[in-house]
Amino acid sequence: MNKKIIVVDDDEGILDALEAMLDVAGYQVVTSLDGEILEKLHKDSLPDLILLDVLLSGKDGREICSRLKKNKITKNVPLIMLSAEPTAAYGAKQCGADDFLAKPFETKKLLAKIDGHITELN
Amino acid sequence: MKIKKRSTLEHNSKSNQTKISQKIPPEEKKRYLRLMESTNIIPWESDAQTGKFTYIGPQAEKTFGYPLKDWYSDTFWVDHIHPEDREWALNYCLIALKTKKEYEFEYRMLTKTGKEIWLRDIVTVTTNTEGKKVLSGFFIDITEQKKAEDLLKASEERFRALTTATSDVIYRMSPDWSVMRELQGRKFLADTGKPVRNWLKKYIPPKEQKHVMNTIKEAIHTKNIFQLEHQVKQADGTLGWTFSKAIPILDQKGKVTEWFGAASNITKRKHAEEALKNAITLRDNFISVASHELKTPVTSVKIFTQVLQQHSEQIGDERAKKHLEKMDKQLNKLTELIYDLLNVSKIQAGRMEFKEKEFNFDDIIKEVIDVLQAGETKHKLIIKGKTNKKVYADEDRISQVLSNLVANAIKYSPKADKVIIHLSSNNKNVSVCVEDFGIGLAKKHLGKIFERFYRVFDTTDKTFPGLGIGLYISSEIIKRHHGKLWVESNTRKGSKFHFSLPLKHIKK
Repeated sequence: MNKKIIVVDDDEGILDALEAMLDVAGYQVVTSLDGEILEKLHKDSLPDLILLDVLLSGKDGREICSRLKKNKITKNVPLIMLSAEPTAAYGAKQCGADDFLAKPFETKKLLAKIDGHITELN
Repeated sequence: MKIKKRSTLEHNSKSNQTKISQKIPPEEKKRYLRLMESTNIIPWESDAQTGKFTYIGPQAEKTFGYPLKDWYSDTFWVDHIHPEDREWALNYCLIALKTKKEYEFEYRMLTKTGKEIWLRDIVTVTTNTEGKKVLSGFFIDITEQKKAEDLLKASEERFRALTTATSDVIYRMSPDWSVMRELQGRKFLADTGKPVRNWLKKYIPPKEQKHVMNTIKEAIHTKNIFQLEHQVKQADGTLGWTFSKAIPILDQKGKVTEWFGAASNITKRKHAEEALKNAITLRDNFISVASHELKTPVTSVKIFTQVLQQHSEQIGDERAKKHLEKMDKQLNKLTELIYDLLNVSKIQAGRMEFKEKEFNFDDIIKEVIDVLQAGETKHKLIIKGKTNKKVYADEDRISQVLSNLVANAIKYSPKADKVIIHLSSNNKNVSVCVEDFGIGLAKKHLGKIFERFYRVFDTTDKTFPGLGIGLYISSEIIKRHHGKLWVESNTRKGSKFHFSLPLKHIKK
């Protein structure tokens, strides 16, 4: 079965592009503009990985990340944070993200990171 | 000096037979004369009618330079009064002679060498036994005193001119600043004509009072200049800004007698500065937001480009793949420009962050060159030498500098096929030199190429694209690492860009 990835970003253009990229790479993709889907995760609906933007409109990706990493159910799901601000790397580490990548990036680099985290977990 | 007792004197020289006073015993007269002769006060006697001296104190010879006998010639006195004083002095004498028993006046006489001597002449008019009017008196040399007075007068004059001519507020404070003695406000501040104690409340807004008083206390303590830029209540009641400076006036014992100050109106300048600061903050925030917003669509386009690239590879469309590769390269350029824009605004605002850590210098150089070489087909990037050092710096920023220098080297040597990166070190620095074999730089550009937005425009050179901020950013990064960035260049032979970083920053 294809691995499932949840992608959260407040920009539709990014969501479209990431969905296309991950789809071509053979992942099952769920996208969300506001991250609410991450609040409702339960044991049976856990993704294999989460891609999360740092600055969402009206929400802070770092807070969402902290909550997920404190939650027993979700804490083991690999989470990669993305941001157009390279200096956000520090904040991403602080809130417990497993990885960080600054936008724009090489798709190969992101795919390698995703693959690495998913393989590591299994 | 006050001379209360005026007395006539008798001279014992042979040429003078006049007996003026019979009342004083000769012994006492002699003693008195000797006493006078030992001072700078020159006694004299003369005939009131003719003005001819009948006696002159011997010190006159030393003071004026004329032999004593000359003084007894008929018109000696009149002849040797300073020409400018002669007429009025003579007139004054004639009138005083008729109306007064005693008088004194000040005038100048000329010495033998033509020097001016200021004299205070104290004169007593008496009548001798023959019923003739006789004058006796003293010359007091007041030249030094006059000079000092003139100097003081000139300096007072200048001071008055200065305080009138200046557009600055002028103020005077008591030694402990408890009392403002005077303030001329020049319409900027309200005047204070009489000494007041409530000056702090009158001129300084409450939130500035503590700051101002602390600076004053410091000045009083050190007896040093008080100097401060602070807000002030203007004459019209609104708040303004002043640059105020006061100096302590000391007496001869070094005790402060007064503080004299001048304060200029810098309200307009301050407001302009504030407006500029706000404008810069606004601009930097705008650039920061704009570059962030630009990155989002670029990210999206880049992902699609690479997805398409992969797709065209899978279906074997080589042409499409090539085109998409070129597109991707352009996107990378666009990304770099966006970063440059952001970096410049950060440097300008002093907000560029550095994350320093220790790293192996040669490894990072090789890493950067490998990445650059991967995207470069024409030029071979050759590393020569080694530093064998670890440095404590911001790895990413140093990589950025090297990328910038190498990218420039490639860009400005379109006909060459290599760029050499020389590495060296000593016990103080690591050094990198990026050498190209391109168009080089004319001398006139060398000093300016590290300036912001500077681009080489030459009638002979073709122009090259760019914002002209790459080298500026690089030089700022190296500066912040306490290193050096410099260039050697020859037109048409190529350029050598060097940078060095100090090793002393290594933290263990």
